[in-house]
Amino acid sequence: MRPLKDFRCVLGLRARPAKGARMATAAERFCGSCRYFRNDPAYLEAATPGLSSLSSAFASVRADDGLCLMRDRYLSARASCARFAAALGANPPPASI
Amino acid sequence: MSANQLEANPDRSPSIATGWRELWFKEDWWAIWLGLGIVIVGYALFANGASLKWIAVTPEKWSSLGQLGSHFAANWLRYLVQFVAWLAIFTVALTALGFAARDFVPSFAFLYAFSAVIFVLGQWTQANYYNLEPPLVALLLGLLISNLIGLPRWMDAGFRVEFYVKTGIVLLGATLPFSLIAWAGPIAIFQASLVSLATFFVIFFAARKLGLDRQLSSTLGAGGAVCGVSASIAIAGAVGAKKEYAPIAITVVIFWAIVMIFALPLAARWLQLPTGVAGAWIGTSEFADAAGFAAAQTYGGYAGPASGVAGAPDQAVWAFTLMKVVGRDVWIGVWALALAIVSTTRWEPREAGRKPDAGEIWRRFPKFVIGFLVASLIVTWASRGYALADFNKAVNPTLVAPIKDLRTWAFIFCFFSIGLTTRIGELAKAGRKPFAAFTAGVAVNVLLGFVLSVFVFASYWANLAR
Repeated sequence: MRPLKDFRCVLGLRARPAKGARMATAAERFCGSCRYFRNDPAYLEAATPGLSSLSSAFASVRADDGLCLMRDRYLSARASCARFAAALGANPPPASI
Repeated sequence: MSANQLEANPDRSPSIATGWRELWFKEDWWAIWLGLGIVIVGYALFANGASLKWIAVTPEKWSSLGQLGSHFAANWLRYLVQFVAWLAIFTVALTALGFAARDFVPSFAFLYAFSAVIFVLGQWTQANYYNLEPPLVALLLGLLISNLIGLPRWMDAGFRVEFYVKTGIVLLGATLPFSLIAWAGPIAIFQASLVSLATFFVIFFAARKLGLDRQLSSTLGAGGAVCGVSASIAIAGAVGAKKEYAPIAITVVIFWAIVMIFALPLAARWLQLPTGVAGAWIGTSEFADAAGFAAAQTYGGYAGPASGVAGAPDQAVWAFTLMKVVGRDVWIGVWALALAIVSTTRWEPREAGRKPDAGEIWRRFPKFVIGFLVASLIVTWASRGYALADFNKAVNPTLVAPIKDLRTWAFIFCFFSIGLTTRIGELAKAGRKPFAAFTAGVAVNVLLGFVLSVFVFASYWANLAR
């Protein structure tokens, strides 16, 4: 069972930040800073059958995309939604080179 | 750590924002650093009267075990040094990407040993007669090992298909004159664009007709039209697909890509197509770079009077590269941007939490292509002022040929890794509808690619580099 704060998040209410997390500013409320977002390449290869067979999660074409554990979607790190919940030690917005 | 373990720990810091860190956190850039590093070292040695030839050792043609034994007795130290050199540079790159050296080192030793055996088999004088082309042998052997015997999961650290093929493509750039890229590139882009658009829309509308939603239809369509699994994963992210959609697309792409590795060279051989023409057809109609190189290199191996296949072996690989890498791969960012705009403005405007921007094109650009072009420029510049006879006498054997030999090794690592990482039982179940929609695109892709390569633009591809 998900904790209450996660349930409130599903309803679109603001989740109480986890202990130790700072409040995200509007500009930082993107998936890449959300606690439900996973885009570590090793995680994605483990979670996506066949990905490393003819491609790779370390490839440039993937950019910063990852999986949202809340919405079960594969999303850009730059996307955002009402269910955003800041991660502990969230990264700053990804800058392009 | 398994996916389930990670999901059970949602407080774990989720995001790795790349930005400038992409230069050492993405394999495309590492393929550039390693590939261009080899080319620059090769050029420095060439400029000082030396060569990479000693370390770029490959098995020679042989017809008896005695010949083979003599070769290895005379050259074992060169193979040992080459193995250590590959191991060193790949270990640096893969540990930077997050792999453990203790996993990679034994895994790569296994990969190198089997690759050497595959290479030796391909150099047998009867290999062509028995269809023992190294790409096909590597793929089949890898599939047998991974699906019938099975290897520990940690060994996947050394079976990096994409990393090896990208390193090989950068090295390939050094063997392809830049003038050839400039001459044939626009034709490749034009031909590939026609086929890509037709394939995408056939798969997309067939999938919609079968009742699949737009996100899955576009993820499947991009997989068939642009660059296979890489395109599916890129478009899944661009359109915000459900998490099961990319694995579905990956399953059908892998199935058809492996079928085409065998089918396209066999069909081209039966039709006696010149190597350049067959390479262009494979470049238009294969679905993934690694699989396409396996098919193109296999067909290049058929060239010669014995088989009746006209053209040089390299022409198949060159035409394939121009068509696939220059004609299709580099446009993935444009596809992603276009589909992201459609998705956020028309398909799911209320779900969208962002506005797609043109930066998407650069962020998803397959950066290894930059290394491919720079490698070509370096060697083209190094060869300036040489007449053809002098180039063949001085530049080719000391600068270009050793780089080509190292490229062949990188491709064998890749082909064997495809088989070793394709565990058929672990792939997602695709279902009949996605499979049917994709197959409709395959039919159009193969036929249109054939007509354009063999009839409309045949003169370009048959005369490539003449």
